This record gives sequence, C-alpha cells and structure tokens, in this order.
Amino acid sequence: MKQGVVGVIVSWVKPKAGDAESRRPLFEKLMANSYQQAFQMAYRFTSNRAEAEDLLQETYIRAYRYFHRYDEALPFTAWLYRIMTNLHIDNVRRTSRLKTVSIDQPVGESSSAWDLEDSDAARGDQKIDDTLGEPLQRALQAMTPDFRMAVVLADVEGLSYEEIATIMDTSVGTVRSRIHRGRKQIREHLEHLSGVEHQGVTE
Amino acid sequence: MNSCFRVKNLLSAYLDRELTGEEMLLVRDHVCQCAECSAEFEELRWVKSSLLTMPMVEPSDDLLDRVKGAVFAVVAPVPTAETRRKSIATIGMAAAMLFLVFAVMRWVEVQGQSPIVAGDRSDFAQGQDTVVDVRGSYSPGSPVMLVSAPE
Repeated sequence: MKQGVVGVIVSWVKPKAGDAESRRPLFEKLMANSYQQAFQMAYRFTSNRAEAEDLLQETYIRAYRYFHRYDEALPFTAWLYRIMTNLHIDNVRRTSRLKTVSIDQPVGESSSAWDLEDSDAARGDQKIDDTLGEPLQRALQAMTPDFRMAVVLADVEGLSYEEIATIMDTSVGTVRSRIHRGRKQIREHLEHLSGVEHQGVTE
Repeated sequence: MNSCFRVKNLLSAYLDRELTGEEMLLVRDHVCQCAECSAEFEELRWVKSSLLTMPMVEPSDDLLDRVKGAVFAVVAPVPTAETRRKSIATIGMAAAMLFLVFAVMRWVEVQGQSPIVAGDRSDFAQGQDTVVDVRGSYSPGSPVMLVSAPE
C-alpha cells in the first residue's frame, strides 16, 4: 500500500524533468540554426563582441526558460529577437542609471546630443573592436536604442514593419516613425563625423 | 511646402514599400518634381543600402558550445501546463493526507479522554482518580466521589 502511494507521488512529480528533456533537442536544433544570425543582431545592438556574446547568451537562457510559451507556428528568430530587444532595452536602462549616479564624470563633460540619447556613445571608441563598417556601427551605437533596434531589424534583418511592430510590441505607425527618424539620425551622425574629420584636417 | 513636409515623413516607408497605393503615387510624383525631397530620398536610400551591405561579424568558433553550456547548466526544467497541473495536484494530495493524519490523531486523543463510569476500576489501580458527579460531568485528577442517589 505504502509503495503504491509513493509510486503514484513519484510518477506525478518525475515527468517535470522528462518534459524539459524532451524539448531540449528541439531547442538545441533551433539554437544551432539561429545563433549566427542572432549574433549579428546582438552585435549591431551592442557594437561590441563581448557584450554581443553576453546578450546572446542571456537571450537563449531566457528563451529556454520560457520555451513552453513559444508557438512553433511562428518563426523562432522573431520570438528570439523579441526577447533580445527587451533584454537590450533593460541593459541600456541599467547602464543609463549607473551613469546617472556615477561620480567619476565631471559635471558638464557630456555636452553632445548623441551622449544624451544612449550612454553607449559615451563609453569611448574602444568599444567598437571590429573595424569593419566602423563609421556606420558607430552611428548605430550613438542612436536612441528604440530607433537603433527598429532600423537594424528593418535594414540588417530585412523584416517588415508589421513583424518589427510585433517584436517591439508597438504599433506599425510607431515603427514607421522610429525607422525614419533612426535613418535620419544615422545620416546626421555621419555628417557630424565627417565634419569633425574635416575640421581635424584643416586645423 | 506642406506637401514637402508630408512627403518627407513618408520617404522611409516609401523606400521600404510600406505605403498604401495612394501614398506611393503621391510620394513618387512629388520626388520626381522636388529636388530637395529627391536628395533626401537618395540619402535615406544610401543609409539603407549601407546597412544592408555591412560586413558580417563572425562569431567565435566556440560560441555555440559556450552558450549551450550556459543555457543547459543554468536553466531549470521548463514547466509546462501539464507539469504545473501535476504539481498542484501533488501539493493538494499531500495537504489532504496531512489533514487525514491530524484528524486521526485528534480522534485517538478524544477517545483516550472518555469519561470513566462507576465500576470501571482500572484508573484506581494506577492511582489516577476520576470523579463523576451526578450530572455526568467529570474532572481528571480530583478525589473520587462515588455516585449515589440522594437520601
């Protein structure tokens, strides 16, 4: 009798691990198929290899934890990018808060409008450790995070406005506005950079 | 001027083919006629194509293995609706068993404290006195008083 009761309890509790294990091969397969593309995205968001790897890892950890919520009828990458954009926003906000309370930076040092948009821009040129496409990547780094993510999803990933709206949990109209303003920010930033370089040559 | 303002805000969506047919025609016609808007459109197109052709950044060779290691080492088993249902049922069953055990213990306790009627001398043999008054109430530990009818 005792064995019967214990057996029932064990059989009810044990399948927890079994369910996770049964979903692991599917997750591993999706991970292997998506990680390179997802790494590109993470790098465009962070402009730094080490931070991109951290963001990627954090994204997959969260994705696996909530894998039971994933609807297999939808593209895995779209679901993954949604997690990644949320994590990136959280990271940027956390860094911004740290920057706000920092006592290391002298008052009034950060006067550039670019610095105000995203604390990443204030961290210095050494953050971009790849020289490929550097001016553009630097322009991305200097952008408002919401604009940067919308532009990257549209122009690097080639997603439609509707897909981006789903990923960023916002309206198509907002996506349209963010992409337009984001591209203008990039153009202005490149003009700003070329102006600074031009000044440096003439001085 | 108003037309320029409106069209400029639509240029990116025009570039991405995300406008309605009517808006597409409006922007196309305006860009053909307006040098300023045409120049802005070309700049936006240059930004888009530059981003599209940015060189790929190669991930480290061991990145996938490292991430896999972290994911499967850190993450707890994935709870599904089925396992959650079973967990709740298991907790419920344990609570029911606990309640049953307490109920049985209480019943045994109550049985052990039943009043001793006259004639039952077992408690006297152990030196424990129980009194039963004429109204049937009792108090353990009090001196014995035998029940008798009033004279």
